[in-house]
Amino acid sequence: MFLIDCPYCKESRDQNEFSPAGEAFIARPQSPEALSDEEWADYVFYRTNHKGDHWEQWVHTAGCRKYFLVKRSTISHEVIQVSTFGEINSENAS
Amino acid sequence: MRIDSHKSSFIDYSQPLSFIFNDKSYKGYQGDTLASALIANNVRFFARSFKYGRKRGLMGAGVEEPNALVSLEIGGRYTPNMKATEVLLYDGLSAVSSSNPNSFDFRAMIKPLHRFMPAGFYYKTFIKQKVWSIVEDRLRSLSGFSKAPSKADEDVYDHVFQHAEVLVVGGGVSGITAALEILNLSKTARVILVDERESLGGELLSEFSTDESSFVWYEDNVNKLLKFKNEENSRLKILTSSTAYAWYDHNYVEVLQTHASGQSTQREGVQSARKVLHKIRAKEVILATGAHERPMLFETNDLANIMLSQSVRRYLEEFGVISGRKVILYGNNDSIYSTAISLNNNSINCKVIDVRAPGSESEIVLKAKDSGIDILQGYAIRKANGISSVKGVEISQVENQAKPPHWQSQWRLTKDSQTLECDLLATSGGFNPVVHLDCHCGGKTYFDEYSQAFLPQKNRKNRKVCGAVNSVGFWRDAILDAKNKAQQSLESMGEVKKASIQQLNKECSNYYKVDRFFTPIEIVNKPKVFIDMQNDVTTLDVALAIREGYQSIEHIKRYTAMGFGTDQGKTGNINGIAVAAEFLDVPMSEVGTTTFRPAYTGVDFGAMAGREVGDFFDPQRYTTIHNSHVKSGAEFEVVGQWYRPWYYPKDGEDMHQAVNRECRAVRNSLGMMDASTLGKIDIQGKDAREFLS
Repeated sequence: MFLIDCPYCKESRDQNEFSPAGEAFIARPQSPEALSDEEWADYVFYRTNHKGDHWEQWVHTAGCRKYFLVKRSTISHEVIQVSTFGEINSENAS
Repeated sequence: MRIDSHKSSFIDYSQPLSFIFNDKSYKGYQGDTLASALIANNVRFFARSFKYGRKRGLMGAGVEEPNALVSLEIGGRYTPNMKATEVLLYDGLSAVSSSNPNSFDFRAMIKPLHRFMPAGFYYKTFIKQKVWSIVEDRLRSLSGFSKAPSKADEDVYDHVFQHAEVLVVGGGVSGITAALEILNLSKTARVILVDERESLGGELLSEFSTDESSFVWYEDNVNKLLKFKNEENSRLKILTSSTAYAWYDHNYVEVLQTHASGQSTQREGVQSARKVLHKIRAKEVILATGAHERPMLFETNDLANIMLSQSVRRYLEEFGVISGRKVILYGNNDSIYSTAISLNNNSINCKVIDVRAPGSESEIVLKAKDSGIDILQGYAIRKANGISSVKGVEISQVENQAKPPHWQSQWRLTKDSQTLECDLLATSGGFNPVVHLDCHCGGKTYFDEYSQAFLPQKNRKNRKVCGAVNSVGFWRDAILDAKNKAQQSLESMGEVKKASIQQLNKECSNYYKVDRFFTPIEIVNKPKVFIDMQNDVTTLDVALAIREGYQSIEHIKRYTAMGFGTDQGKTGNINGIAVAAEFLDVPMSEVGTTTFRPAYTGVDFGAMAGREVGDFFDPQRYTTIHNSHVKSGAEFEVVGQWYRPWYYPKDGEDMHQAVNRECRAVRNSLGMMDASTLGKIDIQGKDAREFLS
């Protein structure tokens, strides 16, 4: 049961209030019709399943209902950083 | 029997209680557990074993007990598989064994066949014959523990959310010290102290009569704690009779508190909760969970009245009872000497058999020698004699004690043996730190050669370990250790700038001076050397698992069922690992432990459900014409919490008849269906928000 800091509510809340929304920084292809089936499948289904520090999206379902970013260690489940969209993107994420 | 000369201060002799066990009535006192009261009444057999139906007695005195499973009460308060050692006595208690030791038992009748029934026997035999589906029910009814309840639970259970800066698990010496240190040094930190027993103190309570200063320390520190607790806006919560059974991510710990064992919780028309589940979130957790003693291995080591050494001591010191008059103590560490001194002080005849050779004795051994206790050093027990309860032991001399690292298989016993008589055998093969909780969310253990135990991982964020679980066994050392760890917790919370650490002496972490695991091949190769009492797993079962190709301890566990059941191998598992290491010919550190998962002890389903039962289980949603459906005699179907009419039976129709009639009615005339629960309401226009608010 994680404790997650919502960057909008500025409060540390129990995981019960949140829902996970998958890996972060997966950009929708500019022209989907131009993709091969493999490329489309890669966009829709395949994820990195990273071991270690991992950026992911969460939504504060039972709170402000906003989506935000969480950097979490998939080994220890430690929440290392939280951020709103815009502050962190695929370019400046570490 | 009760020891007249030793009046325990934890028992209220002015309050006699009567209770029923296996249809016989007995007397006990306020403060007894069911186990101690039955020892006082000279009851020897508590249950039959799982697979072979062997009569078993008590082995431990607390949560580690594998044998004495009972079910309490009947009807709506029936509770199966309670450990007799954890049931507090109350007037009118009624309990039955999970499997009655005094009645006829088919498993026990086929005793001569037991040697042909090793691990995996039932599956191998019956699955090959393709008759498993026919015999399964009958086999399962033969084995197992208490019967399942047949009536709904009439009790209520509560859930409570708790928040604290520091959670201290374990209320022994280390836990008390750590909690006090935090409260003293911080002005704001809230502390929750959790202990599974009814009163704080843990194993220290057994020291009182032999060490006056321990009693003084205890009184002093518990009073300090109570002062903190009784303050206005108190920062301290003490949860006793409470077991921290699971630890989840981000320091979320679940604790089950027991208010009443089996007695009615109705008082003047008000029903209070039998158990409360505390959901605790803490910034820092200090684990002071202590250690469980492990038994020694020898042939027929499962006879009644073969117990753990510290348990015998606890029954003696805390409850003033003992189950024998002629005691033999056997072990590979100093724990047996502390029990011997307690027995000797109460003028109970005892003899010590120590597998360690003479020389380099510690203080307590010399003290035992000085007080005239009969001590045999360098001897080992081959076998316990007796039919169902122990009558004596066969001992041989130990030779060839090899040095590490290749200590396995190097123990040898001489051929000739002699017989000694006894009616109670107390053994100690060292101590297993209670690392369970720490391992629930990712903690690892490592095997420490010096203390001969699997210890919790050294550094973890926001968690400290102190006392016996950190292999610091003597209570004075544990005080220092607990203070150090409390300081470190305060440092990581930013309450103190720099933790002041006091150096412990090196000696203290080899607590009770544990010797190496004692697994001579002459003993582990015998039948009926039981490792796991609750599941009837023997050393030869482990050997068989390895012969059949199971090398990992996780596979050995599942093949043999070692460490299954309600005790989860608290006494047996580490011995099992030692035996596996012996047969695999690798060091114990390479074998490792099985995975520790929640829950640490059994948790009532009722407690998990809390108040969310019956009408509160799920919201019920009714349509506006619900009453007219009811009037028309509808049966309801629950669709996403909505109560939707299913069919309207008339004159004893069943569902199909009613549905057929309704279909015919729709075809021939008219039907109506209330599908409003599926509807959505769309509100549009510029005043939509105004309309809704």
